[in-house]
Amino acid sequence: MALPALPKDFRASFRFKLFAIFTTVTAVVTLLFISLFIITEIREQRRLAADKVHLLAARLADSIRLPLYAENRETLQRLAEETANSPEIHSVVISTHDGRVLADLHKPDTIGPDELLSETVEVRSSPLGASPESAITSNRRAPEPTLIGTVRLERDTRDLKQRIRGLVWTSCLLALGFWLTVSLLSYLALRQVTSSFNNLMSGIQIMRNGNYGYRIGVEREDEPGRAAIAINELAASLLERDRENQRLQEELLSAMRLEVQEEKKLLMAKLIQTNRMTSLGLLASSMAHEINNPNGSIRLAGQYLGRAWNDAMPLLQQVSAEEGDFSLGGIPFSTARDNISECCATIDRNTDRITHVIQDLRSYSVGERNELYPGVDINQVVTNALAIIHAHGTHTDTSISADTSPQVPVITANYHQLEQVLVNLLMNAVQAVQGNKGGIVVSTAYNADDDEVLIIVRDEGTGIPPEHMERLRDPFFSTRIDKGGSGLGLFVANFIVNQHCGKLDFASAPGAGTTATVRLPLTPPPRA
Amino acid sequence: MHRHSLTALILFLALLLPALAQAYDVLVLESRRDRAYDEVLRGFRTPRRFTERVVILTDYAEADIVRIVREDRPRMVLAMGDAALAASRKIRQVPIIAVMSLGIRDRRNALPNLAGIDMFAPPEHYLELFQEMKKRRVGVILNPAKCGWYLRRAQQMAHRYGIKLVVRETPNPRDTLDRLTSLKGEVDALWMLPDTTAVTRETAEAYFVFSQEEQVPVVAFAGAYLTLGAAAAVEIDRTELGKQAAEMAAKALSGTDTAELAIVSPNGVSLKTNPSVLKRLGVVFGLMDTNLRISRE
Repeated sequence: MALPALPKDFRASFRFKLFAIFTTVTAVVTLLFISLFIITEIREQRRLAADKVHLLAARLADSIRLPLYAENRETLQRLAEETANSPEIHSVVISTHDGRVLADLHKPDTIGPDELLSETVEVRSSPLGASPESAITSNRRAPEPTLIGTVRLERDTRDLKQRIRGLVWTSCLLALGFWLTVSLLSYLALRQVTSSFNNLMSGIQIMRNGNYGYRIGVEREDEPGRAAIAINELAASLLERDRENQRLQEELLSAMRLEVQEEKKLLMAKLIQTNRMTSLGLLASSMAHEINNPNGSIRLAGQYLGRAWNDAMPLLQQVSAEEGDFSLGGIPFSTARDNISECCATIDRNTDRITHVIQDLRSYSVGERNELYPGVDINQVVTNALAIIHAHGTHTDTSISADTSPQVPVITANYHQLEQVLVNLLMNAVQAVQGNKGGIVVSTAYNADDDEVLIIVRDEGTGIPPEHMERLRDPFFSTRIDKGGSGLGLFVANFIVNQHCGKLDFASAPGAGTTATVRLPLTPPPRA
Repeated sequence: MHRHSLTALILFLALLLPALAQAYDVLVLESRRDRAYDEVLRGFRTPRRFTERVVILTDYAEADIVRIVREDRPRMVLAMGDAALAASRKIRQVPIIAVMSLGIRDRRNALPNLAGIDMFAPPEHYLELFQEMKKRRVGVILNPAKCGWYLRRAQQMAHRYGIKLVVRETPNPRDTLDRLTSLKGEVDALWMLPDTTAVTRETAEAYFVFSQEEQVPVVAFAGAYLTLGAAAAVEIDRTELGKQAAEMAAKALSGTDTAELAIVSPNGVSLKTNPSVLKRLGVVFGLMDTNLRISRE
């Protein structure tokens, strides 16, 4: 059955469900009991009617025993009329044992056979009656009464049906009244009982909307009352937690704001550094142009001096042989002879180096692609890098030694880029060992298994914390930003090694120094 | 030789066995197992111990009494009850003494060897009782074909006791009720005779209804009716009846002709009363000088 008139909230309420269940169960039980009562009462009415007819018939049978035996029709008719005076008796028929009807009394009403309740009773001799034969022997066994005749009574059951109909109506009205009364009382009781629940639910609804400051009123110390107390405590706890969360959120926002500012500062510093490096690149590019010209002149002059010295050497040796040793530039000719040749070679070599450096600076600054060349000697790269570091002069108290292997084959690489890689690694090592009085060892090796050469830079410095190991190759990561570090050294070195299809690995532990290993294939695969 | 001897022995034994079976004087036939018959038999055995065989008819599906008599050859038959008397109707060779039978006088003509004691107490006992009760008009219902002899005997003696018998004859049991109705207001007491027409199982009740309606005492012939409403009963003493039968048997066995023994009335009777009914009907009497033994039920 639909309940469109009732609000959904009311239909879903605990009170309504209890009321519906209770009234339904009460209605079913009432219906069941009233049905059983009616059925039982109908059976009882029918049984009582049948018993009454049977009693009337039995009484008549008892009273007509003698006149029926004597076949006294007048007496039988009179007794039958007396019995028929009862309004519900429709007919009385008295017959002998052989079926002869001695009295037949029918009321004039026309009644269907289904509306008649018929009862036939046998008329038998009195069980106490004794024949002379049994009397003279005092036979105490009760003789079987002999059949004298029968009495048949028919009862009009219309009044019975009317009475049953009235009974049904009365029962139904009583049941309806009972059900309504019980339902009303149950509603009142439920309203009283569930008022605590409603109070509790309205409070929960308010809290559900976010008002944790609301407190549910406790009317009684029953289950809902105790639940309300518990929920109030829970709400208070939630409110406290909410406040705590809010405070933490504000603190978090504040911290994040500070952190962002710090990051911003660092980022700006890196940007400034990058900008500085860019400017440095531009400066290097312009410097290359300004240096290349005098360097070329110096180189040409040096070469000319060398050739001139070589041409003059036989003459000077002849003079020395003839005239003895003489002073040249403040030093004896015998000493100056080799020094001057060496100076000319140094001028030629360094000017050549200046040319390459300038060329590399230009390539780096204009982003040119660096080419790889075969026949690069790794040991020479190490020697030159160490010379640069020595020339840098920031490691006066640091021991830097080389342990190069003569079996290392030449590889295909960019000499100057590898030199830059090694200089970066050495610079980091020098910075790591400063103050520790430790040493730095640069070694080379050949790994025949993987057909690769190794450049190993091992220092005895402070080591790298584990949390920094993963970020060593990241750009702008440096622990020395505040001391002028750019955070690009290892990033560039890793980039160059990757360009050579090699690998740059670090092994370190705090306080145990750091080992940087560059692995380079003899011949990198062709670039795409 | 031996085979002939064996055959002769068997024939001898076959002839001897019936002779051995004839070892008693009286064949006692009882209609059924009944304590009343036991009382009679006890009285029968009291004065003299006869050799006897007792046959109870209801123990057999169909008892052939004639064959038993032929084979046992008793010297006489004592029949107790109407069924036993009916079963003895074909016996001719030995005397029959019948007791406890209401139809004994009806069969007398058909059975010349029949003697016995009827169940009608001598009328003077009843008349004396009515006299003591101060009842002058006494109603009697009977079938003259059965009890006419007794009525005549009673009427002859009634005037000596100053009693008037108001007689209603009924040839049919169904007429008994009409006859009773006709006695209303005509009698001071009702005399119930052992007449199987006037008193049946169906009509016995009517006597006591009449007694209640008319406030007159009923004097019956058996104590069994006291419980139904009879005021008094002149009942035959069964032990005395047995003794009386034993005397008749002794005479019969001694050779007295059955015709001489005839059918006699019982000697021993006793009076039984229902004090409650007597009190209700206002009947007061004393029988100190009568020959009746009085007992109260």
